Amino acid sequence: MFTTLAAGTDSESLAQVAPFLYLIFAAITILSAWMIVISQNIVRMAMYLLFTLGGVAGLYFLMSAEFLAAIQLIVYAGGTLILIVFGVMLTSKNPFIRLQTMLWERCVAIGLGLLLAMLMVIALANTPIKQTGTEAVAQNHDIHTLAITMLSKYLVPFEVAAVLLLVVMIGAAYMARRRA
Amino acid sequence: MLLSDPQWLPQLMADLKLVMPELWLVVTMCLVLIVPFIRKGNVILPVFVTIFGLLMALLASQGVHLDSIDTARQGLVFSNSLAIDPFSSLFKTLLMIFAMLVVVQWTLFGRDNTHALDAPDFLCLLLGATFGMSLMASANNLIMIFIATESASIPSYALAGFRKKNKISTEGSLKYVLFGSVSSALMLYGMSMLYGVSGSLQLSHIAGTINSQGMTPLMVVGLVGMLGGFAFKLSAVPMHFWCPDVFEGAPTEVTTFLSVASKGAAICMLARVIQNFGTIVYNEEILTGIALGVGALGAVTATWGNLVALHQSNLKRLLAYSSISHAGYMIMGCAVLLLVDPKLILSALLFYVLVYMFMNLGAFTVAAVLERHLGTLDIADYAGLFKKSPTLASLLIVFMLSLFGMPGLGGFMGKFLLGAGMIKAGTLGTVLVGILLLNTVFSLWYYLRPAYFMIFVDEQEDKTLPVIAPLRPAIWTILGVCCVMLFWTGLLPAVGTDIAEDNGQMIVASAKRAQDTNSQHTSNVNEPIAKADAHR
Amino acid sequence: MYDSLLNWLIFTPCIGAVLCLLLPADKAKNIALGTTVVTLLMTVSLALAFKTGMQGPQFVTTLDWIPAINVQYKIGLDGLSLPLVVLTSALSVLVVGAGWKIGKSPNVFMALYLFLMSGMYGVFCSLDMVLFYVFFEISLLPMYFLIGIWGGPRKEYAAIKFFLYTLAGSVCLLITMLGIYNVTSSADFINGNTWDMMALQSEAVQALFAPSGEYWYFARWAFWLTFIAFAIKIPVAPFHTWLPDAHVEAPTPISMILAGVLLKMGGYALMRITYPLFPDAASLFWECVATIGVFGIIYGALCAMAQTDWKKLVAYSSVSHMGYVTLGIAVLTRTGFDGAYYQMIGHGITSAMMFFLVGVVYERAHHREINKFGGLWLKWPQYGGWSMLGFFAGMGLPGLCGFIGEVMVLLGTFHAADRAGADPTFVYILGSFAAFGVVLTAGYILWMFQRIYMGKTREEYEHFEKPNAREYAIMVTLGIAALIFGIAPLLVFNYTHATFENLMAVIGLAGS
Repeated sequence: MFTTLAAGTDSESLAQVAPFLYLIFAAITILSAWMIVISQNIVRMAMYLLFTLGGVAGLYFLMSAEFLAAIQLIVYAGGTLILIVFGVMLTSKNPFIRLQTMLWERCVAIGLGLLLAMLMVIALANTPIKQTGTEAVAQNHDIHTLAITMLSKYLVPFEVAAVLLLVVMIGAAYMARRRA
Repeated sequence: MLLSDPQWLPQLMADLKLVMPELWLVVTMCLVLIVPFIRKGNVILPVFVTIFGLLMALLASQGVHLDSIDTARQGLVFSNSLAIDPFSSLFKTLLMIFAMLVVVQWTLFGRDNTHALDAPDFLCLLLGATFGMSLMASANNLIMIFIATESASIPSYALAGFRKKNKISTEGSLKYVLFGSVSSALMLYGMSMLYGVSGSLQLSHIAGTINSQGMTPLMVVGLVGMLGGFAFKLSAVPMHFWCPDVFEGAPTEVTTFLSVASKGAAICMLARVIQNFGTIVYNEEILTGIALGVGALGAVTATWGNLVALHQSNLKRLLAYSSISHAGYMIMGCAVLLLVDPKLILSALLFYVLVYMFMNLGAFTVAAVLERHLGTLDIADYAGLFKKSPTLASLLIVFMLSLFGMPGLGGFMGKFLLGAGMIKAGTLGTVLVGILLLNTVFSLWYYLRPAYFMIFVDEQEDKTLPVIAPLRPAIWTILGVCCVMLFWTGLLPAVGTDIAEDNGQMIVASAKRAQDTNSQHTSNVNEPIAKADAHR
Repeated sequence: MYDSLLNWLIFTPCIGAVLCLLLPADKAKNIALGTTVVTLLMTVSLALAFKTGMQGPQFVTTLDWIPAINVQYKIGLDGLSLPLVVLTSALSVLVVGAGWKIGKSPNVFMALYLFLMSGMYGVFCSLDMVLFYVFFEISLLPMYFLIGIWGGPRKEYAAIKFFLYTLAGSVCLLITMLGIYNVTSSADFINGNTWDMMALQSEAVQALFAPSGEYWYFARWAFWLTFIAFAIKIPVAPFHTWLPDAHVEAPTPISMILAGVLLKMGGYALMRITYPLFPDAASLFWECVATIGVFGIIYGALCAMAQTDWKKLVAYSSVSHMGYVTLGIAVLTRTGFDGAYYQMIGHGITSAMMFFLVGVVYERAHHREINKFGGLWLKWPQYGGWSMLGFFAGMGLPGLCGFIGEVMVLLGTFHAADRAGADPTFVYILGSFAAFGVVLTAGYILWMFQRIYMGKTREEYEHFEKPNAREYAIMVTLGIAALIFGIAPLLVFNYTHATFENLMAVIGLAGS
């Protein structure tokens, strides 16, 4: 199973260490995601989020989606998260404020989470997984092709996203403005 | 449509022509943002620009017909990511008209609560949401569905919280954002499952995967997740909690807009997804299963909305729950789309949206007038209103009765046409019609509550109502138009049903995976050609 | 010309209603009276032009209404509807007269009442199911407001109860209609689906609903659903609970029109829709329906006997009398049908009169406790005389209009013993119980009459004004009508004869 994860890479040695790397990245991702949930300090939560995003980036590397991994690191881990941390520290009077949740809220959340996880496991166990996307993966680490696809086949979503960002900026500017 | 293809530029230009309504909206957004640099603090100018832009978008959305398969091919634009067909075009037309009316409504009421310099922001957000909704009606692949939903939602969050100083408004907006993010995540998660199973973003290919692999559990998870995201936009039952709070807190014109446009667009999107499955999947059992699931969602939504509405005392909250139940009726209509001739249901849905638009616009406009002049939305405070302003009270009663489905008013015709389509779907259809009608009966109780207080209960001595100052003629015009439209659609529905019938067509792309650019636009019009393909 | 006259008949009251609302309030009563007189004249001229020998509907107008689903605007008059239209027109004039002294916003009252009239005419004239449904339901709304605004102490409760009950019935009708619409596409001669009542009675559709037909299962459900829809309106005993409340709280003129015409919509619709469309289901379940009818007769009469509220007594007498209508239809004999129809006309006259007689006293006494009255005869002998005529007509005294219907229904019931498949023992038991209902009716009416009219005049009623000329005019008109229709039943049967022949043929009972 793990060898297929590394399909598309030529390196023999990477194929050998891939299972260990996969386990390490997966563990980092899951553990830090768990820590985000149970942590009560907002800055620590942000830091754990950084590790989670980094772990996901590692998984992308292993799946030979290098471009996506790089984007993940630069945009999420690099840009967005730093913004969040600065945002928290600048806006809040007491950045180390503790976020408390009620016991029953936690119970409900854990219950729902377990239920969802169970459903997913059952669904995955009962579905024959086929390799459907290998060709696309093989092509996609060519950034040239990626760019062409984005500006031709996926042109509309790309442009719509631009419009969406414009609207978001207007909305955010309005919300942040002092005049009322 | 890769760059290497010599045809890509002409193809692109041809495709661009079909998304003119959306382009007009984007241009108008930019214009509205530029206007303050010319005339600072002027409100009327951006309003005019907005209305002009909407008008142009309205005109651009005309003229889409499906006379032949050839035009149908051209209807699937930008690598099948958008479907420009009569169904979406009529919805866009309605959407633009409605947006114009909402802008007028805002100019009449909301302007007072808004700083003149904020007017372009409001209009720009409104246009942005309209843009998203217009795309929702056409979205034909997973990416477009997601991004169109977000384009409609994110401006809506800001619009819902537009009264920044108002606590209820801010709270509603925050709830809206939180629910919206969770449901977006759910939808995206579901979509990723669907992509994982089918290896394609095209709805028709995903449906084709069901034909080849059957209904795998992962597919079910994916579909349920996606339906969850739709349920949020529709305020269907497990995802409806935001609705009353947002409707109560948001400025009334925003509430009007969200209650109709946002739900209408989501219904179009749901109908398109279901129509894709209905055309391509040929396993009757799977189709019935999907119909059962969607139908159950609709039935629960309608019933729950009505039950909770029974004990609402705030007019806006009552209308919010009423809109939840109406969404439920429309979802039930979508459910049987899989099992019967889709044309009947699609045109019934369009007619329903048309009528619903005027009912809600009218009811919320009256609510806005009452809130502004009497300072209260509590229905019990309207005791004796009929004596003081009989015309206004009568109009509210007309709108309420239309929402309830009184024959002679448009609301009845909407439900009736929907029922006439649904009954054709065998036992499931009959059960759904039964639920629809049962709901109609007990919804009477709360739709008559305002009438009860305004007419039957006399004014209390300690709480005298302030006299309602003479309303502006423009308000009377809006109310009059709504009222006339309701009587017109109720008494002489032929014109409306004809238009809806002409437009009850959707394009569905072929289930066969497009191998090269030439076969990319293979499509069919409400015909089971794709099914035949899949059989082979 | 008469075709358009029928259209005008339906919509003239609407025009009158709009005028009532637009013109000054003090003119409203005159406008309403004028409108009702005009519609009465229209009805009379239609009745004169009516060809009595024709089976099918006359003065038919057909227009496409919703082409998308083949809904038509189709109206016409046949023997089944004409007498009821005449009854509606005639009563309408009297009801406006009875409402002359309404104090609270008379213009709204009259406008709502005129809208109600349009609805009633529409119900009796429409030949398309959807059109019928629309009018059937539209007539609820003015009624809701008329009871809710001008009613007695518990008016809101009575109004919403009336609305919800009848709405629930309408919904049963609507779902059946949609079902019929859906299944008729299988009938080979019709292009697509239809809502046309006449087309639905054709053999091609009947074949679908026959026991051997494709939709026999559906037909049985549809029979009960439509039956319940109209049973609530009639009202048949287990579905009657809205009626006493509505009647007790409604103002006098509204009680008159409610008992006089609105209840008849139920019986009319049974004869127009339920029985011709599902005759096989009807003959399968006839025992059950007939038992329900007899139960209504006895139960209504016993309840009436137990009342101390005068108006409630009259209301329950309606339940009892309309039980004869149900029974007459249920036994599936020609005599029974004729009797049921005549009972509807007769009850239309007598119930309106009884409610008016109660109203005259209530307006002066402001209470309706039977035991607190007494000696009204001595106080107003003339009023007493007309009262006697009215109540005895309701009781079914020979020579008055209540008698003919009841007797024909009873005869029809006993005739059912001759029908193939009917158990004679059951029929005789049924008939005997129904006949016993006549005795009970006589019992409660005579007892009531004794308590209210006989004896010494009570002192506290000394200051009562005498009934004025307007009130006498209404009483006299109704009284004379009761007398005429008690002597000359052919006035009605001349019109209905041909249509009933046809109806019997459709139901498959020709000659029985």
